[in-house]
Amino acid sequence: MNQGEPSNHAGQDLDGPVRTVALVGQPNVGKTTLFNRLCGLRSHTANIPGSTVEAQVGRWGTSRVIDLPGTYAITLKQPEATVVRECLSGQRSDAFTPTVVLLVLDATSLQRGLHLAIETLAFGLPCVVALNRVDTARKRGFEIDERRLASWLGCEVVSISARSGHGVNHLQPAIAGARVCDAPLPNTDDPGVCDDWVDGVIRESTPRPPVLAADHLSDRLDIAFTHPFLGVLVFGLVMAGLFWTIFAFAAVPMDLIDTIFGHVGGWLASILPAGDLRDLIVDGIVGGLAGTVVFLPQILLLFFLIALLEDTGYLARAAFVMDRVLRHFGLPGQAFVPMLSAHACAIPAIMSTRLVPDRRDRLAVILTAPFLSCSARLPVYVLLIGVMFADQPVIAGVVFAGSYALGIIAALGSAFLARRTILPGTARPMVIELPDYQWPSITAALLTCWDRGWLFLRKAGTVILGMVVVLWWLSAYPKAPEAAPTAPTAIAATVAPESVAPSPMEYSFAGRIGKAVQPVFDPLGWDWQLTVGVMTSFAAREVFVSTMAVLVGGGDQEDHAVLDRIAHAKRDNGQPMLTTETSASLLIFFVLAMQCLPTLAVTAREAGGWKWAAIQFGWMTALAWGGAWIAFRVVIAAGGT
Amino acid sequence: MSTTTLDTLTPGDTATIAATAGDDAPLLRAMGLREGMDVTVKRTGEPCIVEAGNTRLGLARAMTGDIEVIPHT
Repeated sequence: MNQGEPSNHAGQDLDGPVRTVALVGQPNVGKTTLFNRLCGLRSHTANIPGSTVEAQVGRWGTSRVIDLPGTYAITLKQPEATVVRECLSGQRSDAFTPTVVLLVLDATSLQRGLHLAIETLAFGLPCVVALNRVDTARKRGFEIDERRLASWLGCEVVSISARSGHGVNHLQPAIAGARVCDAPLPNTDDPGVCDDWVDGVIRESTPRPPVLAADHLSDRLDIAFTHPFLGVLVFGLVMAGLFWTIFAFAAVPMDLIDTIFGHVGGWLASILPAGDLRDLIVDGIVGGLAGTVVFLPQILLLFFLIALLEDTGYLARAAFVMDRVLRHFGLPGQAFVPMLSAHACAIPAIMSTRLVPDRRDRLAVILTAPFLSCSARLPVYVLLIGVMFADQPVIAGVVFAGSYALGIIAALGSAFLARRTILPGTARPMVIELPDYQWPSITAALLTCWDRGWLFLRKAGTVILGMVVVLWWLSAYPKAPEAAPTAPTAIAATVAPESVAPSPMEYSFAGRIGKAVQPVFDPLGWDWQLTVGVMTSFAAREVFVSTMAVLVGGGDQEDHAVLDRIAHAKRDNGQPMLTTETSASLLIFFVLAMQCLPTLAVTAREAGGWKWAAIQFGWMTALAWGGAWIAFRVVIAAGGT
Repeated sequence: MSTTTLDTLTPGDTATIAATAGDDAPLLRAMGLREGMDVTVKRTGEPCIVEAGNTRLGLARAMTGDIEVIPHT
């Protein structure tokens, strides 16, 4: 499955903004909620040039707004802090050099925020402070006098609630009149002086005693959600609910997309004259896009639900609970978010490893995440398990779940090995903020969904489309002499074992490569057709089903008739192409193999070198071959078909 | 006043932070675990939960062992 990369041309579509406003703040202060409220749909994800950190960029009135990554302090050595530091000092591109800073502080954790304020104001940029969550602080008996706070900070302070929108309309005029801090600030190099200054600010701008009442709801929920056993149980239930929702609710739109593409393909086939162009458009472009876009509903639902869970504050608890489990395999608790996302698609999962603070921990997650069964493997699982257990739905269900489990075991086992060989050491000790629980914002989750969906579609329209066309070309050319007049869709030669002349597919580049490579996969029981199918799926797994459809003839729409034809296709010697043992070896191979070029490209980028992509590819492919061979032998020993 | 490390406290105990050590001291300080702040232990174990001000943090023992505190009696 293929998820888009962020664009590197941030804001090219935004003509002539008057100013660039950078949102700066600590994690969990509501910075992104504010960004969404200001920019809404007029935003997109962009990669900050020269870094692996991404930021949301949007348009708010006449301003360009950059939601810089949340960081606890600008002086830290983490990548987020470095990026914020370099953007504020103008060391990144002009597009990421702010003219005004909008510093977001959380009224319920003012003390912490003030230390960040000292560091931010020291850059000497015009600044406005948005004091968020004043409503929550007030409810808990903590009032802040914004005028006094403003005089200490030497810039305008606007009390807001990003969630309800209260006070947000005062930000626009404040930004227009933003000024450089004109108050004396303590030297950031002297922690003692900074501490005293912060204490002074809080004393002067809040009523005495400046005590915030406890958040009893969070206390009570944490008793269950962070409990060593109960917490894991809750986590299991939440995850089961998440996957059930994704598979249950995505089915209808997925069928719809499939049907629409089917109709479009059929319509184009009926109006275009027969020939290469029609084959390219119908079989190559429409068929290939259908096989990719069909996963959009699952991706959207996954990101929507994860965004909701994150917003409630539960996701941090899940990481806390999972730390205990993942630590045994050398992975930190934070790894569970990428590992969860990897079940939809490894690409956004690998991109989200930026959440993992330690580099070696992050590499361990990046290398192993593609083992987890992404949604592109689904159609292949459906096909192969359907062949093996056509009339046994219960066993089919168990094998299906087992395929997912095998992926998880392979990921954890590989991480365990990696931490004892190429990435020695244990996972970085956990430090995670557990924010207050709150009702999630549907709007924010929908915005995340929209953003991710758009990235995915852009990827599908560019990289995947390109690959699909190349694959089509490889399987259509060179044309076989005296073969059937048209392209691969018309082939039925595979069911005619006696035929002397090679079929067009056999004659094509793909067929020749398949035949040349087939001996490598012979021990796994695959013939040249299956070899071609598996090889084309190295570009993207879901291509397997459409390639097999092309090979056995009769259009590549993934309908039941086609699946049936694949299931009953014959080899050159007249034997069935798919037997129980070859299906088993293929299934294991697809669970374990690295068959996704876009994922390898993202691995190379995020891990910082093609070396890591090569290790990932080599290890996964070797494990897949070995696993498939064992499966093949075991099924034969058990009686086979 | 005798100091101890944060990992020796039991749930419900409160203490004042005396010093933070180790490579992660700057991060812990930035997250709100500064000298002079009061902390409450919410849950012990590995990892544990502590609260400082309105900040609730999940911390590994390797971290809490680096935080010197003066327990409140």
